[in-house]
Amino acid sequence: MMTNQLTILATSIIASAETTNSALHTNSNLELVLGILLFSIAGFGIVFGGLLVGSIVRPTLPHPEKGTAYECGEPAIGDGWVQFDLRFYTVALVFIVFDVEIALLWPWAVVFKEMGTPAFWAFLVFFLLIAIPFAYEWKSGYLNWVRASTGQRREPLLKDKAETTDVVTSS
Amino acid sequence: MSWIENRFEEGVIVTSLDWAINWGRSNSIWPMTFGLACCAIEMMAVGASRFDIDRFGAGAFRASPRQSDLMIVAGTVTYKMASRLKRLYNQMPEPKYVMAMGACTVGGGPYFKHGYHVVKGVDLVVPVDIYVPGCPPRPEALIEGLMRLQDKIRSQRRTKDVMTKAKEMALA
Repeated sequence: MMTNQLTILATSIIASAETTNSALHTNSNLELVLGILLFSIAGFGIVFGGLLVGSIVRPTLPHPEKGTAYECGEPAIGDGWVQFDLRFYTVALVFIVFDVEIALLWPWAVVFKEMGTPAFWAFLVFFLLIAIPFAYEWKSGYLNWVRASTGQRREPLLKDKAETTDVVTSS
Repeated sequence: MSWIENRFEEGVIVTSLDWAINWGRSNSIWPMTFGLACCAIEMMAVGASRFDIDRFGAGAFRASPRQSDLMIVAGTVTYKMASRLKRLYNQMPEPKYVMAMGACTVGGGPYFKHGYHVVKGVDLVVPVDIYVPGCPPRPEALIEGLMRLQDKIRSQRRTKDVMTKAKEMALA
């Protein structure tokens, strides 16, 4: 795409050099490419120029407390980026395992006597397929509902990196 | 502080930049919502329609130190509050200004002699730019303080200061 545009640009330049100046305005390809070029330059210039000017002008005075969590001036306990237990994932897995199994077991049970042995083998394959996530969940302990609150990884408490300044207590 | 500061002599670019930055800063001083005692009532009155500090571009009281430029310490600062106040000041981004509002923050005020729990002036905790005396100061006084702070911001320079020039002359 890009090389195609560039070849168009090159041929347009050659063509425009041969023709008169007024023919440049009728050459839509060249105008298109020049427009894209101009807009790209302006866009990059505004973005990176702004970043450059900002980095020159803005004050930088880092302080360890500047990045700590805002808790109305109180020292924050831990930071805001804690991991939450996403229980829905395991619940969804359990739901898939049991609900799909039940939903497909019902029609299978109705037609089992008529179909006979093939129905038995067909469902055995399906059952083994379903048994894989079930075994995984059992092994991982996701069927143990109380586990999540106790086994969760605990973030270490954020130590007060910045020493809180003691106010002069003498009167 | 910034890269450009204390680096160039007075020239049309640096002084124009000074003017533009100071113009922007002085006309949009966003104070932090930080009322400690009775002075805060007057501060609220300043923010409300009758006195309307928004006329001076300082009406956007922010509920977070991250977005604010000015800390109006409105009221009695106790020793217990002082460490919190210091932390809030540290959490404010540059450039930041502090206005000590009321007699308690200026120098202890009515609690100077017997107030075992009151900091004798908030300038013991954070650097103060403007002192507004009064117990409590009238809203007009607070607006006056804000205008003096605007004057202070407008007089900020990013060119080489006298000390740097003298040092260079001594070395040369």
